[in-house]
Amino acid sequence: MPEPEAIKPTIERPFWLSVLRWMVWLAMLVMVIAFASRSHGGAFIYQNF
Amino acid sequence: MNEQLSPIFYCVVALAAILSFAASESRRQAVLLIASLAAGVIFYPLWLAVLFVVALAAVFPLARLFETRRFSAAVLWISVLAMTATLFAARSEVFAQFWSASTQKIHRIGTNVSPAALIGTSYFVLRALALWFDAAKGKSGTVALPRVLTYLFFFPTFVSGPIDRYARFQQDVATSRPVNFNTVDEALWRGVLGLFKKVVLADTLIELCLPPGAEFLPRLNAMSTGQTWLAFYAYAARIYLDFSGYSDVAIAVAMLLGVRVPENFNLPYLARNITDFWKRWHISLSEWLRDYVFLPLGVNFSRGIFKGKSLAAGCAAALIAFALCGLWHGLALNFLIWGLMHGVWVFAHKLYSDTGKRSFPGWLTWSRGNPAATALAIALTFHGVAFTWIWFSAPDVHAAVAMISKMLTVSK
Repeated sequence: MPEPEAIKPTIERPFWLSVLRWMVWLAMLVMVIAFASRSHGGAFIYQNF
Repeated sequence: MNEQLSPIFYCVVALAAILSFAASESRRQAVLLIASLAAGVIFYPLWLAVLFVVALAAVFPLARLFETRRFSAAVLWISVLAMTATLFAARSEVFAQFWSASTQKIHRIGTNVSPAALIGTSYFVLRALALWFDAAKGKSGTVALPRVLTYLFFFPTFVSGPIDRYARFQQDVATSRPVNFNTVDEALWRGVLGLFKKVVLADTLIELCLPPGAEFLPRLNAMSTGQTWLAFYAYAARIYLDFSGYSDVAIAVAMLLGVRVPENFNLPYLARNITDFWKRWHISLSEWLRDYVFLPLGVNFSRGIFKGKSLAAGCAAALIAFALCGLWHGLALNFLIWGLMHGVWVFAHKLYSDTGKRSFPGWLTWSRGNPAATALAIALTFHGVAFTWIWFSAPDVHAAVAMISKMLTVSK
């Protein structure tokens, strides 16, 4: 009997979709760095509990 | 202190990930423990020392005792009550003043350490209690000091969860789980998405929300009805983005260290009813309360004081579990009201669901399959939950009532 992992179908992501995905990731990272310097960003709400 | 937003935190993560990847299975435990203590020493050294003493002096020895299963139930319950009482005492104003005075003395002798108190304490207590209960039931596996310390202080989830279980956590640490390209890909996406939710979205919404503490009422008084409604929706969005963002980062970092911690959120604002909401919101806490408070209490009540009255037993267990859930967030009346509202709502939904199954099954089947009825159920659940957030975000009952009054009166 094959292992469950082995019979699990793998979906290949098209190359253009991978490029788009990482561009979105990069855009999010740039925004995180830009917004992180704001003074009013607070602590995580649940850090106080 | 936001260690998840500090570059130093990610240096510790990168170093720990490389060492954990390179280490043999037997040494991974040591790598994760040293990395966790190092992160604690960097970000919350004094409080880490306090919790470390508690872990060594109480959590571990008692877990070993409960593991043997040769103890009286009274010892377990006294230990649980003492741990819970310690958590509530540590939240008190008296302790805050004592801690502030003590850390000031340490500052005067020239050290530059963070005075942050209580960091991660609520979650530390929940992990410790879960370990004790599991050990007492024989579900914990081997209780050993390095394992217990790694479980209690695992730095990605130390501050605010997700709350893992000792046996499941140890399985991940002990089993070689190779960190491959797919893991890194998933972790990088999840981590940056989490930071995006917190830093870009949630922190932007702060502008629209009412501020915490003493500034809440003055700002509310200066707001129009429309602005108050906007603050109502903004807080509901913010608390989700803030906490699920934190959880995403914690899960991503743990993933890089070869540990798959439990999920904490699953699109909670798409819940069709309040029971569904609690299966999607802060999942690791709701499962903790279900396993260690609601189910044991329900069983005890239905065999004891509510014998033959399973509905009353379920109602009492739900109210106590949600009251404790509220008080766990803070020892204040508004948190208790928040918890009880959820307890009453969950019980009312259970009644509706049970009665529906018996008396009008056709209606329930129709409403579940109808898109308009589903949309209405989602909207009603969301607004109900957002209403309870008023009690959660307001500094006290008076402020919560003032916000509700403002929302119900027309003012410019």
